[in-house]
Amino acid sequence: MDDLMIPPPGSAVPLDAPQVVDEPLLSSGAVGDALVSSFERLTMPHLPAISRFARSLTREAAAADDLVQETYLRALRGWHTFRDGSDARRWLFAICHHAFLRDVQREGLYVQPPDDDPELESLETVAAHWRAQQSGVADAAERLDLGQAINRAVGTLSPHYRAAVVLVDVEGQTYEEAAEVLGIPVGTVRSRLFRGRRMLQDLLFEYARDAGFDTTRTPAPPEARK
Amino acid sequence: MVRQLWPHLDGSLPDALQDRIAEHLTGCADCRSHFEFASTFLAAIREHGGSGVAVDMDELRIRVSRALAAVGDGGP
Repeated sequence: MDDLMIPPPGSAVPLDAPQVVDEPLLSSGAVGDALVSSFERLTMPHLPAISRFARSLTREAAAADDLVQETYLRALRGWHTFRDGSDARRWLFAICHHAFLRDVQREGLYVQPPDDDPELESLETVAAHWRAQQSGVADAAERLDLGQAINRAVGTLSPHYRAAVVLVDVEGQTYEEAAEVLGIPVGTVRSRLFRGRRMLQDLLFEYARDAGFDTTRTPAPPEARK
Repeated sequence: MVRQLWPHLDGSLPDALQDRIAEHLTGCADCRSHFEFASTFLAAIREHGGSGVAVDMDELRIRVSRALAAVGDGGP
């Protein structure tokens, strides 16, 4: 549960927006309007990116829009913790992810993932691909409609793995940037990312088998060949 | 070598190690097939891993702005 308390990028104050909801600036009309106005100037340009991220996380339009709104409300409430010159986009990503995990937790779907060895994940990925090559599934997977298969597969990943894959592979963030958004060490990002990719590859091969592409050849026992 | 599959494809290894792996791949068809598949796979995730759902951004912007204004006015 540790990473439910994410420090926003550029701030030393832990992000837990509801704790700062009673900020005086937010409760007085004229000053509040000015605050909202300056907040919007800096944050609204990032709305498309946050919306895209929210959709990637939730995989559902209405839930994503709710998450975006919640993200901006939390961000406004925590606006006093934002430091001038910090990366507002990354800060909003962190808040969005934090709010998403809260929803997951509320729905009882939160499961703390194990810390896997990133190198072993690479090794397992290659071993799985080798087995798929031997059975003919790898060739078949390359003939699939990869777009549809991957889109479905990402939606089935558990939240932690999905977030790492979306941030690095879809949003193009570095391990370090993703670590800042997720509030976890870089090594944990690598672990979740590589595990997520391996699970996606497994799902892709499953789709290929389900689509009837499998052959009847039995693969030899997997082993690390390199 | 294959332990560095993802770090190599992400370009996150030190230059010398990146180069050493690249050199190995030119002479090892087995490893190359794994790396090439993984590279294609990553490109597909990059292209198709998002939700793919179209968003009415104007409508969303209005919705969020209204919610923010309500807070600025001392609302909920």
